[in-house]
Amino acid sequence: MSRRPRLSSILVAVLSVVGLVFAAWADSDAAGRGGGRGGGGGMSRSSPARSGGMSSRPAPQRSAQPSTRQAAPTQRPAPQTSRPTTSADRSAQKQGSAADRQGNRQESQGDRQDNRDEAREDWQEHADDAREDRQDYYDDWDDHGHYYYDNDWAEVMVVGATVGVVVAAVDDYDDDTTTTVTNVTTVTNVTALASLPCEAQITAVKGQNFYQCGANWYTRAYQGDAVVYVPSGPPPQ
Amino acid sequence: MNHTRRHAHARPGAVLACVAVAVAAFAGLAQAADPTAATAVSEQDPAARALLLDMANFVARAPAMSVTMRSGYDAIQADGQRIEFGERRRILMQRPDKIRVEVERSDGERGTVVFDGRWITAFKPADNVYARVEKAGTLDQALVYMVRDLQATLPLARMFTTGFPVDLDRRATSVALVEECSLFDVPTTHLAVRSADVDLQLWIAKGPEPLPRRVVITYKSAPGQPQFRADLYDWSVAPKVDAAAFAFVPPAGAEQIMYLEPRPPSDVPTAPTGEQR
Repeated sequence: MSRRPRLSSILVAVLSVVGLVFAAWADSDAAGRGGGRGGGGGMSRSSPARSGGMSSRPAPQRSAQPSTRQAAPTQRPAPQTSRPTTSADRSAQKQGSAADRQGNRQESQGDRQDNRDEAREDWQEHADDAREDRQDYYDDWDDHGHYYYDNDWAEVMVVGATVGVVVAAVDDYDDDTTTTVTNVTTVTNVTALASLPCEAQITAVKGQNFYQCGANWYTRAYQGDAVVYVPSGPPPQ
Repeated sequence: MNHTRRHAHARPGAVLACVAVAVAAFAGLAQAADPTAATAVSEQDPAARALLLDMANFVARAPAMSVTMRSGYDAIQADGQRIEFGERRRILMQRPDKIRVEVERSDGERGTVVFDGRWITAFKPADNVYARVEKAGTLDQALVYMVRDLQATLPLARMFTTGFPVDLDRRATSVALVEECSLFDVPTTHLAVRSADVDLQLWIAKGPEPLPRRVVITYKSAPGQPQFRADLYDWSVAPKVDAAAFAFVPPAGAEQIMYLEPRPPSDVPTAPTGEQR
């Protein structure tokens, strides 16, 4: 009677210890592969204060609502269709159908003028907004607190490249596209990883290291202040 | 008797009231005479703004300079805890088109960024890798590109551009003198600046070289209102500039890797579902 509970207690204790050890090992492994993004002990280094910029805008307003300004013109009131002086008023004043038709023509011209004015105003407003956006872009150039990635991946563009490296490019329509980067000015969209998904096998070819995880190959790249990994093709033969 | 007694009791109260009025009047007088106490009264202090712009103009007009920046910033954790991380940078710049920044983070990670007028090069010694991107132009243009587009961390980068005085004057909605501070190796003036985006405090050296000795920025719109703090020392506005300092020579065995430019989150179509798209 008393043996069974004792055995189950021992079993639970052993499993708990194994579980704790495994969790600790997994944590240390993840930290070891964590690259430079996170801080020690799992603390995040991400902060809008990190850049020491002198401009700072709340992130949600810019990233989540990029099109609010463009939407503004459509929120304007519709062109006014009833004039302060109506054709019926004029008709009553002038007492004649010809005068009415004349009045209607003038009315139409007035409406068209109104529409053109509205359109011009909308265009002007849109142009002003676009200019303001551009101005914000240049004025707030040191505000990248909300652009700072604290994730394990980031969408990036290659702006400085090494000759002959093949990267697995991101295409918004076709995820399988690959692009060969052949010069330093080529701009290619890729997905960067903060750390490799495995303990990779390293192959060095002509001074370039290639990291292999199963069928996938990666090369290193510089992003912000960190060294990251981008999917690549296999090393050249 | 009763009347006399009441009168006798009322007299100390009147004396106390007089003393209180006199103390209040004296305090007001003292406050008016002491310019440092004017902070609470007026935040639009032309003399304070002039000090601020003197500093900005002095820094912007220096043909070359070097400085060490020991900085720290708050990282507000998911649970709201405030953690400070630190960095130290040695900055050497020569206008119009050269800069070298060597950084050491509080976790020991090091890095170097060099702009030689044509190439921006970033080097990470621990990995022995470097990346380069061509960006011919002025130092102002390179700083904007590095910070805005490459998302490099160069704190107070705006301070090293020639447009700093105009920019600071336009952004500062109020400038106030806090106090004269004697805790640095030189006497400094502590200014409090407010802008629409951030609150800024500067300790500016008094004398012929009005250089910022300490800067504190509060990001009042960000969750948790984190701060950036930097002490600036070993200033030189006439440093010995060795041309080799701006010429990056890859160490033996260094691997050249790609330079990536992060895409703003609004440009990113969808989040990936796995580790790799």
